Amino acid sequence: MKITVLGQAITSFGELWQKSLPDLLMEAMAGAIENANLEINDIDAIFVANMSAGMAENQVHLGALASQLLGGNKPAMRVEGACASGSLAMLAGEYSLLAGQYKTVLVVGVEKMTDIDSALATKYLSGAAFYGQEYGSTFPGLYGLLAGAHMQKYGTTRDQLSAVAVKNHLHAFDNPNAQYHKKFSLDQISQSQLVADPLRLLDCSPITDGAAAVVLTTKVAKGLAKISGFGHGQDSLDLAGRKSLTSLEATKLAADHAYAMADLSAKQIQVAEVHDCFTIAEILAYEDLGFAKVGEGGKSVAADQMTYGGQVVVNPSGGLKAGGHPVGATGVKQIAYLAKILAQGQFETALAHNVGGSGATSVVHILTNKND
Amino acid sequence: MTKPAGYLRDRSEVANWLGQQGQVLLVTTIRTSSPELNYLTPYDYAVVDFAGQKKEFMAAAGEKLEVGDKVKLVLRKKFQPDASSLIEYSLKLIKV
Repeated sequence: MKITVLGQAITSFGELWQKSLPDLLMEAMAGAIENANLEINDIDAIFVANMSAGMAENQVHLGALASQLLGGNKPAMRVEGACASGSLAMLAGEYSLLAGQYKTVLVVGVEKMTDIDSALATKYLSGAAFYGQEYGSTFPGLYGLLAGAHMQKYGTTRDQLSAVAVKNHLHAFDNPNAQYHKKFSLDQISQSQLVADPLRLLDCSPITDGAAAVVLTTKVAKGLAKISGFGHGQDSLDLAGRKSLTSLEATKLAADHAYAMADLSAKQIQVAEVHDCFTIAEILAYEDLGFAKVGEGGKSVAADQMTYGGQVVVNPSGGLKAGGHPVGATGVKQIAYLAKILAQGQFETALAHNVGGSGATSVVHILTNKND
Repeated sequence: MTKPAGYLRDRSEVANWLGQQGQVLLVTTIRTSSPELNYLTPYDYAVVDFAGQKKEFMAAAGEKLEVGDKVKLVLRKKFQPDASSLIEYSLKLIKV
């Protein structure tokens, strides 16, 4: 049984003061249904991804909210897995389709993050760490430790980290919904304000409002992106509990499952949206997904192997770094963006990689459009 | 602020680890924190090897750690309480 991405929609990403969480939710859901040329009655169920609305908006029960907004008493549930919430909601929707419970479902991710100040956002995001074991940590802090480990072991350089940000900000010019359309030089990235050594402000993805939705179906549909494989990996929630601090085991596990299910290898992937919440995260992803040899992720991006004309185009949307990172929406946005460009025919094989927390949760999806 | 029962549960962890010594494996300096720790920024945060067991801790205020440093766990104020709160203490790192 094949799952087709029948429709997709991504709202603008950014500081959207004029739009509430329900506004964003509805905009994405209605947009995806319209893009799929369906009516609301064609949707069997809704899967909603969100991390922080309970803390930042005092709004939980998002499944019921989405169901009310869409109308028709659709069964709906919310899925949470920190920054991987979106791809976990994708999995929930896919499992429901593969089990035969539903034929067509809507998966939507939403996050409203800019109504609170950055210190409070930092506090809420740090809730995805192991509170009892990592008190005082922040997300930039945890990824700063991972960056330090990679630099110590493999000699990854400051300029190689910066090359990730430079590339993704250039790619974002192709994405009209990206949060930033601004070109940066290596020096601008490398000289921006320190946030958590060695990571600087321009190594970090931003605080973002936004939503994205996809319509998935098991009904026959040609010429559109198919979900050919997926995998879900887990590792210790706290960094100290992990065997390695220079790779994310959860990503390797998820990738192994996804490649096997799709019967594809890393070398056959032409385009990927990977979880670049911090520049080091993208370098780890190259290595854990098999796009680069272990320890050589930094060299690969600096040698232009991760952009157009290179080995694989990574983060054509600008990724989280320049495209924006509305936490619960990100995993759905990656699928929506890849489904759109696959349907346009430029690429045939794509990979989406979504990480929760500092790497405890990872989900990899492989999409294809080979007219099979 | 930690709830009283949670604070009580934390005491056994404190008792087990207080005074333990280890070696810094990785360290970062956190310059933007959650609001209750703002008054401490910048502060160091490290992964430490305690005789084969890795754990993560904040450094005590003003401690500047480097990879390879020998460190010890001590009791320090967890964060700055407001005028009506109890003062909480937790484990933090100092250089030996």
